[in-house]
Amino acid sequence: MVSREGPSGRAEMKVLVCQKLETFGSGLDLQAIKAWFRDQTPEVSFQIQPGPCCERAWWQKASLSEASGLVLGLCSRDYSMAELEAQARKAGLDPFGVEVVNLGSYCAQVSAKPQATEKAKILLKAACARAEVFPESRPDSVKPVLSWDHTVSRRSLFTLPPLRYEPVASIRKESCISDEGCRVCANSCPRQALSPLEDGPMTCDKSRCTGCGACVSACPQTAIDLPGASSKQIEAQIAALVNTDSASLYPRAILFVCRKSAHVLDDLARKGLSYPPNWIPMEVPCIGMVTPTWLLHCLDLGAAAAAVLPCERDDCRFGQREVVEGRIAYCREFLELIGGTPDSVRLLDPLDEERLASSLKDLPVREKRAGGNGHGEPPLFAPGASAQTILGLAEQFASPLDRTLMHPYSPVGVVTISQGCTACEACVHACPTRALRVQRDTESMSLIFDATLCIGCQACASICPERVVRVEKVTDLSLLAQGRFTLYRDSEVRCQTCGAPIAPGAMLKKITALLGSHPAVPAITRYCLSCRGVLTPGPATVEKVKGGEINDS
Amino acid sequence: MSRSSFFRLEDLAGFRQAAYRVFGTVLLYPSQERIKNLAHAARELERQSRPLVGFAFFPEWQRFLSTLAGRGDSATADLEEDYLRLFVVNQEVSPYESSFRAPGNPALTMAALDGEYVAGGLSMATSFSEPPDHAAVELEFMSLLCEQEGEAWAKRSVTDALRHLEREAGFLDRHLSRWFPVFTEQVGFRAGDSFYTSVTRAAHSFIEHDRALLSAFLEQYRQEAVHG
Repeated sequence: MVSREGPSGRAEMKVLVCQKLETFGSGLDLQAIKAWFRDQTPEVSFQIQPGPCCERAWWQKASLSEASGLVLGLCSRDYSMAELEAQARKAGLDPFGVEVVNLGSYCAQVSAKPQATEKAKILLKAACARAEVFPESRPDSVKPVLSWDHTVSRRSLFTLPPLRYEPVASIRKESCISDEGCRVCANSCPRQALSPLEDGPMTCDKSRCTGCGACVSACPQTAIDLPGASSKQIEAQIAALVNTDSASLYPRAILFVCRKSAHVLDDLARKGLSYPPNWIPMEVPCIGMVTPTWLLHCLDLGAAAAAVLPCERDDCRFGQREVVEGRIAYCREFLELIGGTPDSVRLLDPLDEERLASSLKDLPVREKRAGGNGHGEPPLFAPGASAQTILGLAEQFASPLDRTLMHPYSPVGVVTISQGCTACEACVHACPTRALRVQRDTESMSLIFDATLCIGCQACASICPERVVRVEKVTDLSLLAQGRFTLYRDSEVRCQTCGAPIAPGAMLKKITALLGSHPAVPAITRYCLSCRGVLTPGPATVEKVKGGEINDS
Repeated sequence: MSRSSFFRLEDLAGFRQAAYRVFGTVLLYPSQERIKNLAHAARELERQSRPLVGFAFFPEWQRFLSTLAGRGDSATADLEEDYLRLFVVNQEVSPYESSFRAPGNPALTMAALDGEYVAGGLSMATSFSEPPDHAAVELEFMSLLCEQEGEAWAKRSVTDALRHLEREAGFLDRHLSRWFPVFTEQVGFRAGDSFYTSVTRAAHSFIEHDRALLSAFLEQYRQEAVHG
């Protein structure tokens, strides 16, 4: 009997594996997996019994109400998702937090028993890692979808049509900085589902959102949740897939699979088109959310390769295949730049099974490194994650740092400022990642740029009133290694009365040039706001500032 | 196929009517008598809610009902104290729409609500002490609209039912969904892990779900109308 309270006093994660997998395809050694789980993660309750793929009333034996999370290892996808969701809800579990792993077509049908068993361990462990960090879905993060997929009869007019739920993006207001002008998510959305309300907060139009997750990857504040594909879940899953200890499956390669294309791998398995067990599939809602940083992150963690299997074009939630192709092209060019193997990152074709199987045949050689990548496990979604990944790989391939790659899909950018900057700081306030900052001392002010934080979003360039800020989508290893440097420096003009800063010299010069001989100019350029009082045009202003003491001539 | 495939719309309207009524009543002053009645209703609803297992709000609804049912036999002094502190004496959180939408001019919100109530064929009872923009009144109004919708389905009048559905969706869009989420957030912030936090969270979850469901439903009907 499994109780909600585990040995640690916390509720337990339940892993339920379909017992048919023992004989399905080449079979899995379920007892070995169970023993491995008991050894590795004793807090997880591991159960072997018929799954929903084999028995309709599977849940009666599963004691779901005692679990804090649920991972199902099934032999096929032949089960009712609606029924599964309903049983999860009944047990008090969030259906979007239930992890289903198709161990049939991913393991038992494509690999020999020992390898299939090892692969199953990795997949189940990664699913547990995902389930553990699942942030509960919120009322605004799912949408009901009704489908009358048949002619409406008189009876069906008076009954609720079949109902299912789809995850949609929801914004955590406490983390979102749209009130500061950030529009990174809105710009990344291919369906224009995200837009700010008049009074500031970003909102998602559920009817437009397809749940592709592009915004989740794009948000620099990790302020967007998509049930089942949250940033924490993705991060945990990738780390577990690459790092779970299994000596026999090395080198390992991560295969990002669009959920709509998962059936393609099932078809390969059914037709006996095998591929190396080292390819570890990771299903995502849509390939549109897989960024170059994700792919390179896998390599940085130690994977030999990373590939994406998109859906068929017409069916795509993201609908921008050229973006996916551009991201892959960037990764390959970057790897070439640093002396890596471009073929380590691949875009697969879901339409041609033979070609797909042959694309997965070979894996680049990668030496196993002790102690991971040498710089810990960098987070995938934190500010600076792209730079950390890029520099990590450059170090691994012993690349000189004088390399640059200009590419429209570079995940990092470089800001430059040409002549004419007035240091108004509009760019600083617009930057969603704090890559631009102002540093002041008594004599001067400096605009500091942190290349490791820039995502090349163009927010600074588009807001600059002087049109002097330029952003290039370029991966510049030396600038990334350098980190922060001064982009622009100016004198800080101080109040002649109290010594408080008035404005940078260039700005005052510009104001002087604009106002010409206007009588307010001397007051503006010499005194701070408090000392010059409320400005009104005309000599009265000067008189007020002068206070009978300061001669303006 | 989902469990809700053959859920009769008349029954669904009846359930929604009951849910809105319970949520509305629970946001009124928690006298011993009222809480006892609510607990009894919650136990009854718990029994009748099994077919709702396919709906996303089910776990929250189930938790809410069991919390409410559990309050029936206990004293309500703590609830009364919480209620007064939160909504009446200290008014840490205002349960009135106008406080969120037009704090400087509550009459505007109340006039708009009066208009909605009259258009729905209803008016405020003079014996009722709360103004028309109190959360309980708005939730009760939704309950009455659901009741009218249920009657229309029972009479097999699709046109009437759709008219009521449009009115329900419009009321949620124009009123409850505009301020109830912030209200819920504030209650959670002020009341922490209390009865009123779980009540408002469950109500918010239900309102959000209902709004999305109505929108999806009406969209389907519109498409059906276009395609004959």
